[in-house]
Amino acid sequence: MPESDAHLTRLFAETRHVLSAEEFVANVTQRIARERRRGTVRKVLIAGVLAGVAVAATPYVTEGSLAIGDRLAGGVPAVAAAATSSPIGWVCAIAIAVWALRRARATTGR
Amino acid sequence: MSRELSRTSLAAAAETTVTALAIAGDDAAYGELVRRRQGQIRSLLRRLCRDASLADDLSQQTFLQAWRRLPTLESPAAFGAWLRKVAVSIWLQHVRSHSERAQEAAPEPAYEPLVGARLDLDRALLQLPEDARLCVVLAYSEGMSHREIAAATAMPLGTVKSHIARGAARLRDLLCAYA
Repeated sequence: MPESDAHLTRLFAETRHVLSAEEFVANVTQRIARERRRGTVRKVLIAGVLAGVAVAATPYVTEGSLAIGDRLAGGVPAVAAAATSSPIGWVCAIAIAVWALRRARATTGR
Repeated sequence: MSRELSRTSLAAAAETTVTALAIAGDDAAYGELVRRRQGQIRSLLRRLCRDASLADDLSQQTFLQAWRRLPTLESPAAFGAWLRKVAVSIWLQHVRSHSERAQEAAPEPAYEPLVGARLDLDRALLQLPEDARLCVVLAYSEGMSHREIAAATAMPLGTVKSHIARGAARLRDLLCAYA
């Protein structure tokens, strides 16, 4: 570094501002607290809006899923329906589900 | 390590420890970082600004922005350099958003000889164009390399070198004229 550059560097170091910290730190802390409060209010508002949408949509979703269930149930034989509602049917369903999950994991693991 | 340290312990702790606590969401630790780094950031922005209250406002914005982005800081050891980058980014945003208004209200000072007037370093700095002032301050006050300045300001390396060479020469002229 040339001598004149060293002179500038020294000059910058010597004339560095010395500033009191307390008021500044308090102001920053206040702004952060305000920002945090705003964030909390925003989260509560978003949660409220989502809950409202969910409540408003629930009758339509329930109605739709019941209609689909009815339509599917029409195609299932009475014996199969009875089997799935029996303990043996439950055990078989769980076994099939475990097998399907393992197969899916093995496929994604590759 | 306990999640919360007392203020005395925080003041005595290493900056990497305090930064790690602040990243984990400890507000007292972040307050300690503000206390430690406020002098550097305010001094940097006072070199770049025309008035102290604006510099302090931009410094507060810097610390607020840094607090928002703190979870993205990968290495606590890099906090100082990272914070300085945030400050430079805040300054550049301010310059861009106010450049038109500033040009109308207060035109860039011309290179007038200031012999006879009290010319200190800050006044001499204000004689430099904003980009050159930024590069000179980062190089001489903050000790950043040309590459680091180019990365922080998004200016081409050649432009940074040219700003520093011309800016430093201009500063030397002004300071010699005063002497």
